[in-house]
Order: sequence, then structure tokens, then C-alpha cells
Amino acid sequence: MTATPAIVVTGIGVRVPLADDVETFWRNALAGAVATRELTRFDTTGMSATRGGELDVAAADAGETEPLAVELAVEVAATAARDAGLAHVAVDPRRVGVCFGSVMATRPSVEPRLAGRGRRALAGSDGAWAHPSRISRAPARRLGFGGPNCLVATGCAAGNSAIAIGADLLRGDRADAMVVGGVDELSHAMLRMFDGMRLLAPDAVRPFDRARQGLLLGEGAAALVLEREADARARGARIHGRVLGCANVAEAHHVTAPHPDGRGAIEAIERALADAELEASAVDHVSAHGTGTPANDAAEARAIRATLGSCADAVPVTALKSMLGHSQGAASAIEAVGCLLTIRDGLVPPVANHDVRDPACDVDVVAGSARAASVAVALSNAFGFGGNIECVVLGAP
Amino acid sequence: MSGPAITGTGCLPATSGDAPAVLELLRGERLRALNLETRLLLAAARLALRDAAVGDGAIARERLGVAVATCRAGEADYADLLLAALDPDRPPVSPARGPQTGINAPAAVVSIRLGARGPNATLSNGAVGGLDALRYAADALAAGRAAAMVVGAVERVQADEPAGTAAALVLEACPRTGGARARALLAGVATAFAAGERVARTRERARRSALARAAVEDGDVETLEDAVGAGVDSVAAVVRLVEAAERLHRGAARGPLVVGAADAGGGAGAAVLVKARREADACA
Repeated sequence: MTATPAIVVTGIGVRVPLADDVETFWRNALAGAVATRELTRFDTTGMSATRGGELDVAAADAGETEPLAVELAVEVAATAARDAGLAHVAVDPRRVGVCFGSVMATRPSVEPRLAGRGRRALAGSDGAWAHPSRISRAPARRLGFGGPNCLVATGCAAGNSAIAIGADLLRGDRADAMVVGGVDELSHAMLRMFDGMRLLAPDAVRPFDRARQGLLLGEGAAALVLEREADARARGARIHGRVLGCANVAEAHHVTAPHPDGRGAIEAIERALADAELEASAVDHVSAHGTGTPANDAAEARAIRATLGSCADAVPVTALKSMLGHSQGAASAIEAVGCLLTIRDGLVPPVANHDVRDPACDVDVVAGSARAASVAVALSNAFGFGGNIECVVLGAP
Repeated sequence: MSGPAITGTGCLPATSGDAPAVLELLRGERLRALNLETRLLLAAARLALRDAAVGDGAIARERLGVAVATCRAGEADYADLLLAALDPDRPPVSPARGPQTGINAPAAVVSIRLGARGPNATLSNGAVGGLDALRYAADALAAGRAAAMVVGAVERVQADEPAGTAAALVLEACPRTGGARARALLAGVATAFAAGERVARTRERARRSALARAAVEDGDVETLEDAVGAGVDSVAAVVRLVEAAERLHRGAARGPLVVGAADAGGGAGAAVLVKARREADACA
């Protein structure tokens, strides 16, 4: 049996609130710049929480032609493909695939029609509403990529799931390059749902803080180009880092509540490290799911402590959702890019809005300002409603 | 010839979530917070697991995974949730129903109700999604991430009608001693996308790729008519897989059988199933 081919990242692209490009995103993250603000896209009358990580998009972008999520996916896929130089190398475009992860995909784009026509807007609908697949198909069509193409919906773990699927497709020689990532746009329905569940923070996201009160929704997208290392090195590609291991686990506990001991997260972290053939002591940094809800952060901290043991004392943990809000399917793709940039620069972004660590969250939270750290191996966690969990281990080039 | 084995199948023709046959399959389940698609997928999964003789304890729950294709799951619930929030005259949607708006809800609930702690994924890819779910499951088995995967698909028939269809099959890396006989083996599966070419050409690429992965010559196969959808029916491809597996099992076809799927949006895929001559084939 031949050895499993190593998978590397050769291109990245990001679009998040306050940043249209990778370097601005990273500068903001290292500065702890909080992008959540009062929402303007929806009527928030009657809601207990009215803030979120909203992109500045022109009216024409907001669903009039293409769903915003489709536009965002096309944008970051094109950026990542350009960064990887895919257009200028001898990669057969029919061997380049696309896989995005998303929670709501194209659904938010129908909200204006729905509000006007009621459920009749669904009848006979064959447009954007009914085709979540367009999230991954539109970038492929725009870029001419005819390889395997699919949208993965594993709740808020979807960005990491897309990375894992891309790695699998490359390992199985089903493609020579994969554009993978995550995307979600703000959804009025989701905002109302989270408000109804009393999961939204009134002002700010405070992961692992004693005063944390909940999450804020956000939106954005990120894409990564994955290739087999031998192919990437043969063509002289710049390598941002490696996808060392992935693990998808169903917690099989509850639709919305994490297992209090972090059971699923523990299994996923252990399996991802096993997939990477690494011991827990090899982990230098954890990019937490870190939503800022009381239940998530406590369970996640327990899982990190349970899997990393005493090493967790000295493993810096960050949570980009403190700044960007929770961009659902996009979040873990954005956070994977963050891990690669941490590896590049040796700097871990701070958890914003963090004043006093909750004693129940016994991990090394990076607070206040970015911390210098030599990171060769980063663990990126992503958990979703339904108990969907996908952890990814990223490594230095 | 080796490959994971299809050991159980279950299909639900168009039905409501309250039909007696569905409720019978869901006996003992708490149903109040489950939408149409979740009920139908759970019922189809139970049917397929029963067919595969996967009783309690037959497969360790951390080794059982779920891979599902759907495009429309939850969209009606999504609409209802927003409409209720915007219109004070409508009854509010219970917070417990909120997560049913998610595309991933049916698959997630199946894992929860089965206690299945292996991999779980929902794939959306028009008419081809069922083959993506099959590939996802086969890769999970090949990598040792699971011992068995429920591969399913579910869709609402029409967005505004309370009826839907679902289909499921059980894919096992290696059939259990005393378990159901393998219906067929999955020898290869591949998908492609029509970017800058006609869909017919893409279908041919996917077919050739699946045949190459199965190490089968084109002249030696029997091809079923492709499951061709308008782009939102994920179920037809899984139904075709079930039909193909049963034909091979009954001896109605010698195989290999090619099951294709394609849609007008540019998706295409193909799977190659072969007859399982001995249960040990799957472990060869």
C-alpha cells in the first residue's frame, strides 16, 4: 500500500466584515479589531439582541442578481485560485474540484420574496432558493473547474468538512487540486431563531470569559486551494501550510446542546490527531470554535483539557468569533486561514472582549493583545447544531 | 473484485410524515419537533438497517456513520420560521423546531436517534448528491473511520406540499458474520461538473472515471438509465442504486451495473455495482 499523500494549501482567500482581503483580515485579527455592530440589513424590532458581523455590501450585491452567498463563494474561490496560480500552471481544469460548506446556502436570498408573498414564494420555485448546490457550482463555472463538485452542510462545522472532503478527494486521486471553503450570509430567519433560543449576546462576543452571554451571528467566506504536496512542489507552488489530519464525528447527543463533557469534541480531536499521526503534545495552538455561549465554551474547554492534558497549560487558544461573530458555515474556513497565518507569522490573535477567564474554561486564552508563539501544528475546532463536529489539524509548510 | 458491500436497502415512495407506514417505522420516536424530511429519512434509515439486520449492538455505535443527500430539507420550516417572526398574527414557531430549518437536520437527527457517533455529513449536489453521499461513505469506510454507513437521500416532493420521498442503504466495509448477505458491492463511484462543456460530455467523463476506478471495461457493463433530475431531486439516484443492488442480488442482472445521475445544472456522476459472489468478497 502506498503512503497517504501529504496535502498542502497553496492558495487562500477571505472576505469578512472590515476586510476584503487576506492581509487586512489578518491585520485586524492581530489587532483584536471587533467587527460586530448594529445590524442594518434587517428590521430587528422586538429582538433582544440587534448586533452582528455584517458585511458592507452594495444593495445590488444583496440578493438582487445572485444570492450574496454565491457571490461571496465566487469571490473567495477566485482569490484563492489566483493566489495558488492555478490559471498559470499545467493543472487540467477538469481535475480541479470545488467544495464549499454552508449552513443556509442560498436560502437567505429568498427572504425578501418570502416576506412579500408568504409561503407562496416556495411554490414551483426552481431558482436560487431550491439550489444550494449553486454555492459550489457558480465558482466552478466561473473558473472553469470541472472536477468533483459538491456543497457540504454539516451545520457550523461545514467549512472544516469542506477541507476534509477536499483532502479526501486528493488523497483518493479524484482531483489534482481542490478549491474548498465555507460561506454563509446573514439570515433574518436565523437571527430570529437564535434570538428565540436566547443564544444571542446583547452587546459583544466574549469567548471563555466569565461574563459571556452568547454569540452574535456574522457572515463572510473563505477558500483554500488544496493540492497533493508532491504536485505542488513539482510546480514550484508557494505552500501556506499542510492539512495534516481531519475528523468528522457526530456527537449524537442533542440537536442544539453540546454534551457537557465535550464528548464529541474529545472524539473528534483525538481522531483528527490520529489521522495526522500526531501526539497531543505536538499541538502548539488551538483555534477554538469559541462561540461565546456558556454551554459551548465550557464544553470545548473541557475537551481541549481532556485531549491535550497538562500541555493545555501552554497552548495558546484564540477565538476569531469574538471579533467577527459566528459566520456559521464560513467560520471554520476563515479560522483555518487564520491558523495558516499564525503559523506563517508566529503570532496568535487575541480573543477580543475578554476580561476575566471563566474558571470553568481552564485553557490558555490569549487575551488583550496578539501573542508571539512558534506554531508548527494548529488544531482548528468546529461544532454545529445537530451535533456535527469536524476538527482539522493544520501544519507548517 | 472488492469494495464495500450494500447490505440493506429501504425506499419510501411519496408520502406524508404522518402516513401509517411511516409512523410504524418511527414507533417509539418522539416526533413533535421533527419535520417532514427528518421523519422520512429516519424512517428510510430504520428500514434499511432492519433489512441489513443491524440490530442493537451489531455494529458499535461509534463505528456507524451517516451520509445524506438533500437540497430542500428544511426550506419550508425556514419559511415558516421567518413568516411567524414577521407576522404577529401567526403562531410562533417553537424554538425546538428552529434547528429543523437546517439542511443538515435530517442527517443529524438520524445520528442522534441511532446513537451513531461515526462520521455525519449532508451533501447537496442536485441530482448527483446521492452519489456524493455514496462516495463520502465509501471513503469513510476505506479510511477506517466507520464500519458501516447509512447512505440516504430525502426531498420534499414540492416545496409547498407536505409530502416527500426518501431512500437509504447500508454500506459496510465488511459484512458481519450472521449479518445480512451483501446485495452488491460498490466497485467505483465518480462525479464531475460541466464547466465549459456540454453535460453529455461531463456524464461520459464521470462514467469513464467510475469504470476506471472499478477496473471494469466499458464493453462489459450494463448501464441503467441515468437518474436525471431538474436539479433538486437527490433521492432518484439513491433509488437507482437500491434497484441496481436488488437486481444483482436477485440475479436479474449479472453486472457490473452502472448507475448514473445528472442534472441540467451541470452535475454528473456514476457508480459501478457488481454482484457479491461471497460475503467475503467485500473483505478481499
